[in-house]
Amino acid sequence: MMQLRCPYCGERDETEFRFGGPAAIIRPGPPEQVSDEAWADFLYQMNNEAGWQAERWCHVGGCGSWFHIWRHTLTHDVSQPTLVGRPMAERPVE
Amino acid sequence: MSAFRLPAGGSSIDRSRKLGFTFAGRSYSGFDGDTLASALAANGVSVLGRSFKYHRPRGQVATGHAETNALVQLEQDGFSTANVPATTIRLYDGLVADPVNCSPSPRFDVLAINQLAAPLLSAGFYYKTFMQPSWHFFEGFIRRAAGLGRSAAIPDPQRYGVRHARVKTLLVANAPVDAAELDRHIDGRDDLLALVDGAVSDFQAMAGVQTLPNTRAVALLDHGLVLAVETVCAEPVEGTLREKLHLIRAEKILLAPALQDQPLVFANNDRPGILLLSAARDMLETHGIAPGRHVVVAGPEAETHAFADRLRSAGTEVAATIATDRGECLIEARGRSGVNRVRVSRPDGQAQWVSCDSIVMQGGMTPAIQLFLQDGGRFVRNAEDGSLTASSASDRVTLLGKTQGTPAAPVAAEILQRAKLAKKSFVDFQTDVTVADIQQAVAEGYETPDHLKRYTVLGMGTDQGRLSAMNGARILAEEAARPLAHTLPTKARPPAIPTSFAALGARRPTGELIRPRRLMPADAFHRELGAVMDDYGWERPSHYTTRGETIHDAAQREARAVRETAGLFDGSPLGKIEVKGPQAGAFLDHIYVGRMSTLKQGKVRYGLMLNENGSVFDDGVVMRLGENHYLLNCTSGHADRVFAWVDEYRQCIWPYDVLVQNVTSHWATFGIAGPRARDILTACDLDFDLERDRFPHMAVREGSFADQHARIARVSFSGELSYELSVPVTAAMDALGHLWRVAEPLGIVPYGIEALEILRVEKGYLHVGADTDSETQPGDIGFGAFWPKKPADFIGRRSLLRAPAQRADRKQLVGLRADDDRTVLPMGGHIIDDDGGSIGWIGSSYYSPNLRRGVTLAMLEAGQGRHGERVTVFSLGDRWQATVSPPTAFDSENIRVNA
Repeated sequence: MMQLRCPYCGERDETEFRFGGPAAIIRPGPPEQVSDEAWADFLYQMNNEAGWQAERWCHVGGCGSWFHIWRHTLTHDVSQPTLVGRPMAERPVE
Repeated sequence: MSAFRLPAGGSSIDRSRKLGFTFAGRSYSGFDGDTLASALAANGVSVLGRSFKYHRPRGQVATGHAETNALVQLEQDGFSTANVPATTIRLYDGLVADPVNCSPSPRFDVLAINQLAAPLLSAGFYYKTFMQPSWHFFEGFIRRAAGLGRSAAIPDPQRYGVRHARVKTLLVANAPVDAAELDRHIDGRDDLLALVDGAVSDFQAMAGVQTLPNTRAVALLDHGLVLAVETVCAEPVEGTLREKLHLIRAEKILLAPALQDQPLVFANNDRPGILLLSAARDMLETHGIAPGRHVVVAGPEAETHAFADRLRSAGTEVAATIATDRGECLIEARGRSGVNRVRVSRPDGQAQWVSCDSIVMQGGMTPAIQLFLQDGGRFVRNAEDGSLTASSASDRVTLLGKTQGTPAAPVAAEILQRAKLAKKSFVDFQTDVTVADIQQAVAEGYETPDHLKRYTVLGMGTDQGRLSAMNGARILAEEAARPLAHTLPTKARPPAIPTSFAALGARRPTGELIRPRRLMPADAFHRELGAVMDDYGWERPSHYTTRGETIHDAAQREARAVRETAGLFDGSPLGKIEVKGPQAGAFLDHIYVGRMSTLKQGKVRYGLMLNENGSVFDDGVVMRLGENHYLLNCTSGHADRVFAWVDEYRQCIWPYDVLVQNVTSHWATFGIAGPRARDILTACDLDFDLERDRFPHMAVREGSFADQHARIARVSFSGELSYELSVPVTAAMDALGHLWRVAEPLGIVPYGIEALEILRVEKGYLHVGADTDSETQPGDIGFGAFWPKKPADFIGRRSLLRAPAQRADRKQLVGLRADDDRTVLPMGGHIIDDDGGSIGWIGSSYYSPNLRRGVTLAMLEAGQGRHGERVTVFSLGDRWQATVSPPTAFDSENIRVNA
């Protein structure tokens, strides 16, 4: 079981968190200017990278905050969190 | 029958203390310090069970948790545990155990007939054979025939505990640890916690190391979490703590894996009396038991000779020693429930039969790193001799001691070439996988260890391949002509040894607490009124009955009363979410299809929420209580999800200056609906102005009720003149009592969910999830006209612009009227076209006591343009004729709701 660091509550067990998918996916808009392809990519294309992946997580079992971390999908190493809306940390080096 | 207790010796047993026990219904005795396996061996019991598939007789082959044959059902009734290796059970007085997978007894087993059918039961048999007519046709029989032990059918009378710990360094020692090597890996012994296998006796001497007794690591999980199970009280004593689960978070983990010797592969190598050298040594040295009276010892020359000498000095005759590293091989053992001879081939090609009653074998050593493999650790294979070495993968985990295996003994060419021998040469004893199965898998194209494992179940037994993975991968490499270095045993997954569910679930909610009941604040009041409760996420009245009415009759009576006088409905579980802040209106424009920023204070508007696919996600009314203050209602069972959803958009997509709060359980909400609703509330002496024009439908007012802060909204889910009264949850009982005292004499009737369903379907009000599915979009349910003119983006808007959203044949909400008024069309039924294909489905359908006919809501392709058309409804082989209509069947002019 992984341990993640909530920006407000600190290090907690994975079971307190909800996974929110890759952070790199930005909701495109305004709707009338978004192509069908771009919208389909937003809805359905998840890269599921082998290696460092930027992800959204929510501390649902605590303060309810959404934040970003880098997680290595092969080793489960995780980076420090940054709140959603703040600049993301640099991609960790391999 | 071959093994026997020597007159002296055995380091762990105390011959002065006799213990009685029962196996397969017969009484025996052993000594304190015996395992169940050693005590049975000392009593001459060699057949301990039957194999999984062919039901061949099997006896002990290994020690500890590597044992793969001698699994027993330990103890009875609630104390019973399935599939426990007899080698791991320390004998106690009164122990009761039974063999698994055999009936009526291990000596005489009915399903042993499977041995005759062995050619039919080869690898992939189930996949190929049981597909016609269908797997389910055979499933019951196969499941009964296939399982090993049985799960206890009554609750466990013992207790289970859990302990969380954080340590700097955790040592898991399944092999002796060198003190100097250990100290090189740790800062100091104070920070070390050790889990030490009972077989590693010299560890206790190491000063200053904290150890957990009788504790075995079963899982090595992410971020240094180790699960370990401590056996506290192994004996079946009611109320005692049986096991304790330790969740240990370690910064650094040191593993000292044991080297596990491997079986030799030859025909009938699974016969009782054939066992690993490590098992024979353990029997002899710790339990004072000789494996037989004429023993063949086979393996590398040095080990073989050393052990043969030891046997001789203990007084046992050694029939032969076979040096597998000198070109000697075992080919085939003979004997019915044991061995009486074995054919041996010499380097010069000559073969001869050797009489014996036991074979002790060692076909190479492999580090037992099941735990380490869970963490991403790997084996590395020596390409020359095929031996396996454990290699480190993560920074957190370090291996100590001997991690390098020894070469595997070759399999005689005769076995690989002769099908008859290959079929009886076992690679995995527990799952009955033979050399022939591997050959067949290769012939059918399964050429990697992972494919082989899935196709033949090699290594899927409770020993996790400790005795089979090395030989299996090696024979596969040979048969498939693949490079040996790339043919590695498969990954192991938790738990590393069989672990009781009770331990894993220790201190977790069970029984009633698995899913706590959610009671409404005025629960007691409803029960007093005769409510029959059902679980709708919350416990809510499905109907009220005092005279033994059926649910149907009660619901019909209640639904009629609402339209004739008035009904009382407890809507407290209704989802309530507050949104406050200067940008609340603008924010909600993004959340709902409709425009909430233009809603006037004191007014209410119906709203739809979509997901990003443009499908209807939830619905409910939105009230504007103040300039910057909205209250959202959402579906009762959905409140937590809708709150999380709205707050996610607030944080991540539209970070406006608003606060979102789930206040569902802060308020009790009572609905008063029916022609007399206003009279009743007026009689309650409210400080609200209830006059029709000053408090119209879809308006909300705040004031007080029975001296409590209260809110009243004119909203309706029944189509009647209807008020929703909300009071703080602490005032629920008082407010409802006050309301009831006034309303009962005026003829109010309490109604439940069933009557509510009838009323809303009469009125054509949909229920998201019942009448909609994951494809339903706003236009399909009559809300397509508003959003195109709305300026703001909202969740799902872009999806409504896609071509599929504009198709003419989309399914749309309609009503159906069956030809026969007495018919209630079946919920879940399909509307079919002339070819019998589905063109729609029924979401809700009830008998309406007010219209005296069935009322039905359905989704139908292009339904909005088909009003008046005749259609056929199909369900479970029956057909009905019906006419398509608008969804609303009752009061389509909305006279009542605006009364």
